[in-house]
Amino acid sequence: MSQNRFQSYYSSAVKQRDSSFASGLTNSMADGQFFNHEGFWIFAFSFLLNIMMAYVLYFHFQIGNSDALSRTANAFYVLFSREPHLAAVGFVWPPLPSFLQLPLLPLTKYFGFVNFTGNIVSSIFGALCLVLMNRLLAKFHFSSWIRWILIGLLQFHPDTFYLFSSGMAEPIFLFFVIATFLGMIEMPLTMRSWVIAGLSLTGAFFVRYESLAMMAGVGFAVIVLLFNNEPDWIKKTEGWLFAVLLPPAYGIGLWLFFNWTLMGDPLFFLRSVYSLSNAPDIAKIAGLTHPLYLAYGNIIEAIRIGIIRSFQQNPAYPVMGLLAFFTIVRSKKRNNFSVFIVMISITAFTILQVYLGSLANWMRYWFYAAPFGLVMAGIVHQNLRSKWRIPFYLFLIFLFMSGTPISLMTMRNEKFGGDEQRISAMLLSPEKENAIKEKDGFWVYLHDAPIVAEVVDQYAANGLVMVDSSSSFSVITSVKNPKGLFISNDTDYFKALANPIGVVAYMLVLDPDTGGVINTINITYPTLFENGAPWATLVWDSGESTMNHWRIYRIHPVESSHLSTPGSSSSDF
Amino acid sequence: MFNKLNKKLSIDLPSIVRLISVDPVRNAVDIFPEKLSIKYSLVPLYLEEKTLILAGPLTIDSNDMEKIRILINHPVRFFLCPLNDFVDFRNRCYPHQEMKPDADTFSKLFFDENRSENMQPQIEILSLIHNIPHLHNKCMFSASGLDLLLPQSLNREHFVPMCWIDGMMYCLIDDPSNIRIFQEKSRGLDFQCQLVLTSHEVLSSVYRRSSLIGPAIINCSNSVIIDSLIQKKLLTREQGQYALETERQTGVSCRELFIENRIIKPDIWLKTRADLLKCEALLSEEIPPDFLRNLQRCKDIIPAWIVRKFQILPIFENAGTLIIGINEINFNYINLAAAVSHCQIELRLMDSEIILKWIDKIYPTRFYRDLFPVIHLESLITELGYLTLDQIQKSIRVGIQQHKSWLKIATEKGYIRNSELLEVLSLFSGYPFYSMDHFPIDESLIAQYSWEDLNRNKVFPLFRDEIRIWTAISDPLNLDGLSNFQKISQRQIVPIIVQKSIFTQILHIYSKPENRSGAEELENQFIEHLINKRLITRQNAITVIGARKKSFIPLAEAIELNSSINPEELAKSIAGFYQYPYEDISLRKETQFGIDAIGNPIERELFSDPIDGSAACLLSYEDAQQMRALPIRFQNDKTVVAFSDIPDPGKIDYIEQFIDKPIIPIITVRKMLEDGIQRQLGKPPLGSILLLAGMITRSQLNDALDYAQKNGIRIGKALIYKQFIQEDVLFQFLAKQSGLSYFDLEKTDIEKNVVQMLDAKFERVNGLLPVSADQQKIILATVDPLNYGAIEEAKSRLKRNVRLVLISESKFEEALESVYQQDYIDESISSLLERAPGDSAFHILDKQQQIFLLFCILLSIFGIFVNARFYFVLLNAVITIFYLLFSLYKFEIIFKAVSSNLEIPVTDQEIIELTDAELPIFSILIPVFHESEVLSGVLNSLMKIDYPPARLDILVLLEADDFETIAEFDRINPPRFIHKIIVPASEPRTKPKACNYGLIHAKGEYIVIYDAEDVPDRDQLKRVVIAFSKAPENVACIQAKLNFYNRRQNLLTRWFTVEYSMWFDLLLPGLDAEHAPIPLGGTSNHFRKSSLLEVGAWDPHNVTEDADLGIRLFKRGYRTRIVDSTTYEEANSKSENWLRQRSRWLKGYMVTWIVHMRHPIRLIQEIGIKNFMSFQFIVGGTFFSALLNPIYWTFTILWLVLQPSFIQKLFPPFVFYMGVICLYVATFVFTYVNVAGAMRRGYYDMVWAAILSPIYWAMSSIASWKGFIQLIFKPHFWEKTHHGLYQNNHGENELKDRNQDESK
Repeated sequence: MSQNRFQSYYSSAVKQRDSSFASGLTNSMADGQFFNHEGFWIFAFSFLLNIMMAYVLYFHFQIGNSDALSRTANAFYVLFSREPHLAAVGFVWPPLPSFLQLPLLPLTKYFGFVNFTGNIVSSIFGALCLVLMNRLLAKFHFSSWIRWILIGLLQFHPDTFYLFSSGMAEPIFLFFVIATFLGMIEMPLTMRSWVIAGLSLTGAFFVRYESLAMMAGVGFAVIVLLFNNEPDWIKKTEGWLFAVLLPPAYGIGLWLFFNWTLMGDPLFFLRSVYSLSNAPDIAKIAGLTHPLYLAYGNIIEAIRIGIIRSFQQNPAYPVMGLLAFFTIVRSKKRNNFSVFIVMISITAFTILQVYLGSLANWMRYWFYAAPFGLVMAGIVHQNLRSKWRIPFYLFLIFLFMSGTPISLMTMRNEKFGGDEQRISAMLLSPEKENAIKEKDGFWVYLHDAPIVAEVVDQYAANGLVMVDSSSSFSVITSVKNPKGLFISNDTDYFKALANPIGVVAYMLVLDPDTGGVINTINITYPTLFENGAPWATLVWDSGESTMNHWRIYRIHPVESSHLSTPGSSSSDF
Repeated sequence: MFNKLNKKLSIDLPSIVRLISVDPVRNAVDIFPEKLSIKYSLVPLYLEEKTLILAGPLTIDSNDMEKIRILINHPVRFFLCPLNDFVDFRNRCYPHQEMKPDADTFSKLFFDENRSENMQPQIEILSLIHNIPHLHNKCMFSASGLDLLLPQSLNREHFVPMCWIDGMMYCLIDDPSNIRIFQEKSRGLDFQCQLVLTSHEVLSSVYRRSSLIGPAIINCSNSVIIDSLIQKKLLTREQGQYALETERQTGVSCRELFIENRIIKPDIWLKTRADLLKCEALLSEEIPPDFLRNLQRCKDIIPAWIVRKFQILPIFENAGTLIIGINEINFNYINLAAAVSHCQIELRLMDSEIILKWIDKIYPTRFYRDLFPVIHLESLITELGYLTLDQIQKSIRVGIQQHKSWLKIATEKGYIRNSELLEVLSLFSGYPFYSMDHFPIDESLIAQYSWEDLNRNKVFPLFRDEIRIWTAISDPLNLDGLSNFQKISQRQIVPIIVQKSIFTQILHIYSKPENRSGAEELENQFIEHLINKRLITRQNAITVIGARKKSFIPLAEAIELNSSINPEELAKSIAGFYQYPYEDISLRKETQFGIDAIGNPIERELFSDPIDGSAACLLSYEDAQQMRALPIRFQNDKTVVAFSDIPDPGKIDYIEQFIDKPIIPIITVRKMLEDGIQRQLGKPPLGSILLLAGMITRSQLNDALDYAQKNGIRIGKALIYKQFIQEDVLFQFLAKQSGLSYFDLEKTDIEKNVVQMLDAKFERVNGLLPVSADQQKIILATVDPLNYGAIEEAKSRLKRNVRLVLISESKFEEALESVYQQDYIDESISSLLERAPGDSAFHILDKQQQIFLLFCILLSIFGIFVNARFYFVLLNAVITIFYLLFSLYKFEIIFKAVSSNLEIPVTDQEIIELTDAELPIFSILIPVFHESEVLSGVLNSLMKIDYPPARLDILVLLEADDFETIAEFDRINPPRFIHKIIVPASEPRTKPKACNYGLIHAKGEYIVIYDAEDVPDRDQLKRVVIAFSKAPENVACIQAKLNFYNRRQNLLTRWFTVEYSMWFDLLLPGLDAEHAPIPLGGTSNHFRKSSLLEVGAWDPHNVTEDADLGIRLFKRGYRTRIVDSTTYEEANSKSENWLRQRSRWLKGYMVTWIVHMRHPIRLIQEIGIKNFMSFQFIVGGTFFSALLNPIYWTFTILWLVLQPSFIQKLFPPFVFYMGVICLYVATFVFTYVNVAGAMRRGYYDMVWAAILSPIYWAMSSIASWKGFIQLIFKPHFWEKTHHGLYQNNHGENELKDRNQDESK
């Protein structure tokens, strides 16, 4: 039904009652307090589920993602390292997920499950995502029962459920993304819309760099919203763009500034040894027949991968996306279009990463297909005539439900599953689980960490142990006395690494062949692990007791001239 | 319609079921035997499920109902019906009871050849004879659509449907002989019809006016639709031709053919048809979700049988608009729907199948209630347009309060006239009504019944025949009374409705004929004479007699007041009847011709009085008033005396004795006589005096009278405001009128000690001034001789003989000023200091503060010596925490304000509804100093302000030595309501001192300050008045928003604008919502004068007296609210000028903070800890942050560049992290809130400037340090801001911008 037709149905008699997007704003649920009665129960329900799942995954099966552990470790350094300071949080990953763990860390350290802190935070944000999603769906005129069903579907979507409880940053990012949608959907009708959208974008930036694409999307959406809307639309657009993009721009500026002032390079997060840009080129090394390799430099193939992955995550996203697109074209509702643009911007960025060959093939990079599927469905729903609603709900539920087995099946695939493989394997083919487990970095870290930590604690009693935090973070968070460690997040780490004699007493080194590639000690002293060095003596070798191969070298108190220079070793690498 | 009203009022309102012109329902009659019908006076209407619906003219108790239920073995329900309907219906239920009286036998009673010349009585009488209502209201709407409902065989010339009320049609006829025809042909109609008699003239001229123009049905042929479909390529030409051919041959319509063969969807066909017919279609696939619910809601709007018969489907109703679904555009149907629903109709074309489907779903096939409509009186009144729903509602509410009938209240309030009400009651009940004019009363008939019977039953028999008795009633629902009377009279009652007042009168007069005395004989003859001459009606006569008995007013006056007779005609009638001459004694206009000073011919109107003053003096004013007589001239040795009433011989004798002369009575018009008495013997009105003196013209007088009435002021003031007369001249005439001498200040020296014999405040408030005195008496000048209370008070205070003289207002002010100037200036400077020295900034630091400061300095020195690092770290920590809290508080306040509107809401409609007379006096103070260049601008904008000048008191406060601005003011010569107040030169030379001085002179209930360059919103004062009326009593100040009209001039003005937008549009409303103290803005703060005086007005020693006053008001328990109205000012566009202004403000904030922090504990006790902190953050934080910023910025830059170790030492981690938040988060917050300010105002092109705000703060910091240094050395120095830098260059364009913004 066209906009005109829609408006003319009840004509002037009801103009003020319906027909415009603004009606969504008058919805009591949509406009209520953040934590109203309904919001509270959704939060409580989801949080309990998430934390229970997290408990089962972490304590019973040791399933998780090593990136999540690493973020927790970053937060740990801030409070409990030899030299506690905020900058210890690191300048590679956006720092917010780690910062959010700071208030919980003293507690979890006291009870002895530091590595579980991330799971708590992700469970909280997962639940908050659902609260926000509930508000968003209310704005799309979904009735409460349908909203609860859809939220239930989202909660129980395997990948979402896993991510909400796994300690990853995805739920935090999703929280800010949905908040951005909430802002966009009110735009330009309310003053708070630009505040919400702008601050959410900033929050998103401090969680994931994908938000840069979202910023572009929001900017474009603002232009679309205001384009030729009134005589001085250019001025208005200019003002709105400044207002919305000021907070994220300030956030980016601040990030660059901190990188510059604290690490000496404004682009340290991009150019440091730990950064993603220095990671091996995923597509190139994937193999000639690997889908990522095929999509590398081929935009059609990249888009195809994008669509397939989205479909594998949640068929509702591409299907509803298509319907939403046609709905928007027909209804010409700019608000809907703006939300659509922002959603697509994130997908487009991920596809761009596939095109550039810098994205791993893991399913979780497409996790937003589940929540976005709901948002797309919301756009369709808002423009749907009532007689189509019931079939629409059934269809939507069907799509979501069908997404679960598809998603699980896809996870099982070694190439796509990533850390979710184990879940899939446990559910679908338990016999393979053991084999997969031993390849799972997370499990290996948790397996090795207490063994190595115990030894490190013994040596640390005699002098500082130098530990590279990028590959040994699980050890750092597991030791009893972190003050005895000299870690790579300490301010004078690289100085000490170049000349450890007299500064540290021991070095913990991980075999480059078993995960120690991005290890600054191995980068600086490439032969140290294998052959030792004249200035160092092997004092402990983990041997078969650990999955990875660890060694501890004692540093002799001799002159620095005996050492090989860091510059030369870097070039060797 | 009426159900809505019922719901709204939640009470039961009278309703009555009508039973005319419909045959009884047989199965109901069979159940209810005639015996029961007679016993209980009930008739059976219909069976609803198993319930028998009964109707009767009397209320029936529950016991009887129960008995009936048992007897007939059916549950019963009961409705009231009119007696007529009941009798008629019972005759039709049980035919052998029918009685057919002969109308002709008594109709002769009414037809009198003398009265047949007037049409009205004829109609009335005809309606009585035929026992149907009649109508002479010519303002009825016509309802041509109802024609469709009448049988085709009726002649439309004689039957005109008038309206449709609650399921009954009211149909007009002009010829009573048609009644029988109608009754014959209308049997078996699906509805009830009440015939209403009217004149042929009315029928033909009024009710036929809205006949259709053009064809009644608009349609388009199938071939046209097919062509259109072919054009849209939805059909091929072959398919179209084939279908048309098939239709021609077989009669199967093309539409069916296409739809059955699924070539075209029904919706597409319908849409195409709608497009061709240029109307909206409601396609089946577009049927909205709440369609069924809306249909159910609309169910009762149009009767089911009409919906079924004409296939008009009501879809949606809202605010008097009904959307109907219809298959063809038939204007007859549309008119019918409009007439039946009383709504405006909007169409949606729908498929007939779909219409039928929904009709079947919603509307039952048989609906008895349509046939026995329940008429609601209120519904009838509203639908006929006599009263609105609101009026009814109001009347009912008042009625409930006063225990009166709401109809009585409605008539008392003048919503509906008695005669109109009579018509409505008649239509409501079906009884004819009678105006009772010129009717012959059958006294022998009345004599047959006891007065008590009549009075108890509220009936009055008018006439009778063999079987019936025509009985007047005033209440159509007085069915008990009628029924009782029927029993008493043993005849069938035919009720006739008459006005209640007339009914009461006739009951009173005719039931007790012995009360009528012979003394009134002459008057009665005269009244009969007037009735015969058709100057008054009998109804008038009854009222006159009633009024005479009630209040003993003279007859002529009673007649004049209680009838529509022309007073002049009445006077002439009296003269004619009593054979006295008639004379006009009003003023006579004469035109005088002359030549003006430059030789042009001029015409001047003068008025002469035909009354000889020396003759008039024979009677005193009081005697003339009492006797209602006035000697008007001498004629030979007799005196001609004018009367306005019937001069009875006793009165003539009395006057002759009184004036000791024979008199010649003449008759004149009452008003003329009263005017004459007033003119000659009383105090003539000022207007008349001025008119007679030729000082004003009649049109000027009328104009001024209007103005005075509208504004609630006296005529003299109105004449001055209208500039029709000079003040001095007016007061000279006023003196003449009041019999006082006019006091000329210029000719007499006033003595200061005499003036001071009364209290200065008393003198100013009451406009009284002792001007000279000797041993015996004091001459007391007054501006208002009618201010008796104050004059008496003054007399008692002075304790000597007082002679009153009149002084003009301006001279009075001048005199006060010359005497009390020094007192005023002393008060302006020291009032606050004397009353509350602790609140005055006269001494910046009091002793305790000085000691505390010294203690802090010593402690610091000690701290530095003992442990300098610890001391500085501690200091740093405290500062950082404060800064952080200040930032968070500000952000919280502003974020709340962004999300909602926190100002006092004032709507445009409320402003429109304000009347000038209810507006209070508003004083506007405009302190001006060396601002001659902007003076004309502000005066111009104030002259355009939307507030009646008579209610404005604008005081321009000029410094005595500012000759240039004074000269400019004199040159502009503004209108009367703008006053010049010269503030004597004295120190401190500050704006608050000038304002205090102005406040002494202000007369308004409310006070506002505007700066010289201000342009307030035109309706700001009205908005404030409404805001004050909505706000609680403790709101002493309403702050309007400030913004700039030259905001685009340069970057500085842009920064200033975004800062002001943030401050006034977000921060202050946010503080208001938090109930926190609000530092007022420099201008546009509107005060209640009383509250302002109570807190000691402005502190003349404080350079931000506004902020200080806001805090003081709060301390005294008053609140400040914000109103959404803006005053536009000139933003400082030059940096040095800006620095001057800003340094003064920041210095003022420092002073205000110091003053109110003299007793911090007491302050906490007074305003609470939360507001104390708010004060610290908003007042303290503002200057504190500006002072600190440069220090911390320097630290930051030093750290980035040199990284000196001492800085690191000053910032241990705890302090450092807070410092980081302050620097990075607070910087962002303060920029962001400025962005919010710009966005809130809609200044989108300023957002970028807001982003550059940090540079602006650097400037603020410079200003802050300047102010701080000045605070030490020149704390009271008022650094003047120069205005007028802008208008000289760009005024026009920027004001245009402003207007554009406002229009947005």
